[in-house]
Amino acid sequence: MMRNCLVMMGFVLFFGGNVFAHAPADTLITLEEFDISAPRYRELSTGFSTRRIDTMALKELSHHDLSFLLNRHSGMFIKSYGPGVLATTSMRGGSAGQTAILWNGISLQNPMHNQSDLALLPVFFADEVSIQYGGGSALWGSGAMGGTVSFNNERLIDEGLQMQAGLITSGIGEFTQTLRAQWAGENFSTRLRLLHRDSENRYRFINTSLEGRPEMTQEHAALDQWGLLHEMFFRFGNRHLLDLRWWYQENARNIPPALQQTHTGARQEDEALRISAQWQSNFNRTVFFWRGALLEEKLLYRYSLNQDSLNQDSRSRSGSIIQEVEARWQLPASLLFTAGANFEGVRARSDEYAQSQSRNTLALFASARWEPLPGKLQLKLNGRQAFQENQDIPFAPSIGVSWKALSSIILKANTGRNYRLPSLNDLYWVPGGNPELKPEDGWSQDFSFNYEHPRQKTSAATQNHDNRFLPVKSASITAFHRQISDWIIWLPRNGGMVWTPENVMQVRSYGLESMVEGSWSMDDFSLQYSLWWDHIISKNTKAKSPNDASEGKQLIYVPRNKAGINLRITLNRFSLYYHHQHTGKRYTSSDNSNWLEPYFTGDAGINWNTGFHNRHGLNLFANVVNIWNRQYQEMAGRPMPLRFFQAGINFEFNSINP
Amino acid sequence: MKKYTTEFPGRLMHSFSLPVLIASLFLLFSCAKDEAEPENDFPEIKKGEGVFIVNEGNFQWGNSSLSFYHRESNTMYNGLFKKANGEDLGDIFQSMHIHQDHAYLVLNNSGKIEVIDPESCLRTGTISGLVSPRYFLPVNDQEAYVSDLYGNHLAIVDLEKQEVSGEIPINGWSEALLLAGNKVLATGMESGYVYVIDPANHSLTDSIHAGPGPSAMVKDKNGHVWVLCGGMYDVEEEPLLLQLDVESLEVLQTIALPGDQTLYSRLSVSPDGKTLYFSGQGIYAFSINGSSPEPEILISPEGQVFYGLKADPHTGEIFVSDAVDFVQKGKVMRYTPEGSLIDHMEAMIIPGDFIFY
Repeated sequence: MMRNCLVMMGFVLFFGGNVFAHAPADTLITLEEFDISAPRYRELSTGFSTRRIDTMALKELSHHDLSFLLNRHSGMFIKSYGPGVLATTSMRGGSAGQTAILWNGISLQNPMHNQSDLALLPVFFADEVSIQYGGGSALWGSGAMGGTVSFNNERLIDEGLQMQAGLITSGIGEFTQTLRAQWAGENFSTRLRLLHRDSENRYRFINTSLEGRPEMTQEHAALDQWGLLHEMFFRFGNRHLLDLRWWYQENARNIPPALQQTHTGARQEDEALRISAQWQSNFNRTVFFWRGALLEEKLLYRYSLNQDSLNQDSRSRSGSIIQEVEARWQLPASLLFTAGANFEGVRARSDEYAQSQSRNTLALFASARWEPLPGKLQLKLNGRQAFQENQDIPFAPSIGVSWKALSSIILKANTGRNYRLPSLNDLYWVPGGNPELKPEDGWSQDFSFNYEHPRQKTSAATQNHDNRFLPVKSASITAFHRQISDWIIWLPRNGGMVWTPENVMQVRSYGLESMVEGSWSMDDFSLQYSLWWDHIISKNTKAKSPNDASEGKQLIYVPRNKAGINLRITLNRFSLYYHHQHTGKRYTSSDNSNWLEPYFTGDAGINWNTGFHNRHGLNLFANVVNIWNRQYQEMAGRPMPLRFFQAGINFEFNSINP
Repeated sequence: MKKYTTEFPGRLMHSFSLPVLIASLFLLFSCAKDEAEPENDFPEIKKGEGVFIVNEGNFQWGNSSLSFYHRESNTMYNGLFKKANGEDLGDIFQSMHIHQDHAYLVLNNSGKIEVIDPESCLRTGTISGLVSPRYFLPVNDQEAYVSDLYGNHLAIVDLEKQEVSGEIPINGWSEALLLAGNKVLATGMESGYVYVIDPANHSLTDSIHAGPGPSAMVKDKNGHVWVLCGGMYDVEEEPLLLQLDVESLEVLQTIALPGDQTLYSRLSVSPDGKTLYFSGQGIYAFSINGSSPEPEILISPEGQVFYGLKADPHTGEIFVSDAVDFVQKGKVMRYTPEGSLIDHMEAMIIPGDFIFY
């Protein structure tokens, strides 16, 4: 631990010596662009600290799931039960249900448990992954309390036909095939992605519960996954755009037993269909959007203790219909006004409910963005009020400011009210569901400092490979504070025989999120690095009962620190990456008397790219996951894999020169 | 007088660099270490000197543990199995039984029973191959029965070989076990029956309908058996206490328990066999002499959620546990037979049962 700190410190000092010495003051960095037709997740975030995961990283990790990517490229803590097994997030010390996962602006949180399993979201299906830190209920409604992860697809720009096929295999018995085909014309373009993953998932792990900590192989984690994402983009004249998408995915997974479970045959089958459409009409000073989505999820959990005795099946199914209209007006005096309405109809049935349940939510939202000093100062006011039949929902406002204090420095501040509605399981689970629950409710404040090297933007435009050393290309540091009351947790009642969710916790969180990026390029050689560190304190501030020793203690499964380095070296046709991340202690008891030890992991990969006929491409890659062969658990009793290798090939065909 | 510049952050940024600032903050926060709290040494465990505490632990977290409370020194010793054997105990430590210098530790979700020497806590064997074991009861010198949540049977264990030697089919979840005369009684949590088994030939000889969720049994001073039918969340029937004559298998009396959405659990008897204790919204006491017609609250919860309960067969003191939020060290409270608090101490995660040694 101490050694890690010193290494990190040395690293920073080495690059940090004379950062601003050659910073000319003539170029400008800009505020969020004043683009009236930009997607809402990008356009409305004035004052928020956001982070876009670098597209090279998306390529390098395209055969992994979203949990792996976020774990390696952000300070977000991922609660993973093993590779391909259930994975959820904790942002800013929140629970899994307090992070919104959005797919092109549509929430993927399952209404039954308010969570989204990141292990089921293949990175291959995303063109962009970005993280918005901090509460976003004023933008997204329920759930976006700790932050928002956007999993987005972008409209095609390249013309012509492009096809890409990939094949990946790994030492844990994985075979994955991917196919992407896209065609873009002037008024119509389409893209299809197919993924099939078949993995024995026989990873090695250390059984820490046994004497001598023997190495064992996971025998019950095999998974089979296939998915299809098809998008169609239409353009009608100069004004109208239509985007259609549908995404179907099937997953069958054996659930590995916990360390001390001697036998389990648990198995989970998930099936999801997501259809979305967006119509966009651009007029001179007005943009109109209509969005619609249909989301269906089916889950079968089969719990069996041994082959010949019992099989207990638990089935659940949920469906949502989302309709949204939104209009934006660009008014004089640099004023942008947005208003809209969102309807969400949810129904769910489960073997664990007395009857099928439904819930309709209507939300009205509006926001105004004003630039009193164009290009210098931006103010943003958002508000959202949702209505439900049997639930009082708080009005969620937020206000944000972005100020370009210097040509290279932007300061952002933001405050807002956030809430999370109880999930359908919280309300209706038998036994214990509590229909009297109130939403979790609280306020958050953020302040961030962002630096971007002034030459950064211009050089990207000229791209003439001047040999440059930019130890700090960009840097940011964000401080946040958040208070949530009526936090829902399940507590045992009636002598521990029935568990019931109650609005009992009060949680105060605060901390820092920081990041530095730099690069060094010289002829055919380039080195890029990013260094990030999140520090999060998240404390229960109210005793739940007279004997409760958790007051003032860090919440369970919220590491105080998570830090990492991402390095990439490119030389001619080769590129090499290395990720290193350190995760601090995670308490496993609410009185902080028990914990999982801090750990670090490193992954490395090498890519070789070649092209022929000037337009086709071939890419060979090899990766090592957990290169230092470290034993670690993100969740108690759930060992993560020791070192394993992956290798693959991608072939790309282009009908015209890219 | 010193002059302050107002040009922050522009001027200031030249005098120190941001990465250095970040690195210093990093050092400041992340290298702080929590010290593990010192654990008590391994105790000297002798017969008659204390009580073992079963800490169930969380489902699938593998954090169950064994504690011992030493009466004389008023000290709690935690994590004994791991200290003695260098291994974690298992997943969900449901119950424990001491028989002929062996302690049998039933690990529900690990499907096993660890056999240890109760004084050194060193393992002497492991009985594996169980489905979802709950309670363990020796029925003669060679054999024991194990009730089971999902197995649809009672397992028969050969004590000499320390292995499962057979099973007695029972429909659904079997729970409490009691040896009374030459009969073994077993409760069926879901069926609401008490099953009667002849341990000589392991045959089911009779069954008696008891009530909703019969979870515990004790013998009173007259040798009659009391069954606590604490209620089930999905069963309409009202919870009750039932007194059974072991010879004739007749129900001698039933005592209705207030059923306003309360479930009852745990049943213990005072050393003189005259008073029953059980847990609901508080700890109830019931005198079998009929001095009071219905059970009365002896210890009111005052915000605590009582979990484990047992009366000390030597002193008559009542041991009660509060598992708090079930993810922190549970508290163990010691009360006089009259229900006044003597003291309280910390055990481990979810203290569920007490075995007096």
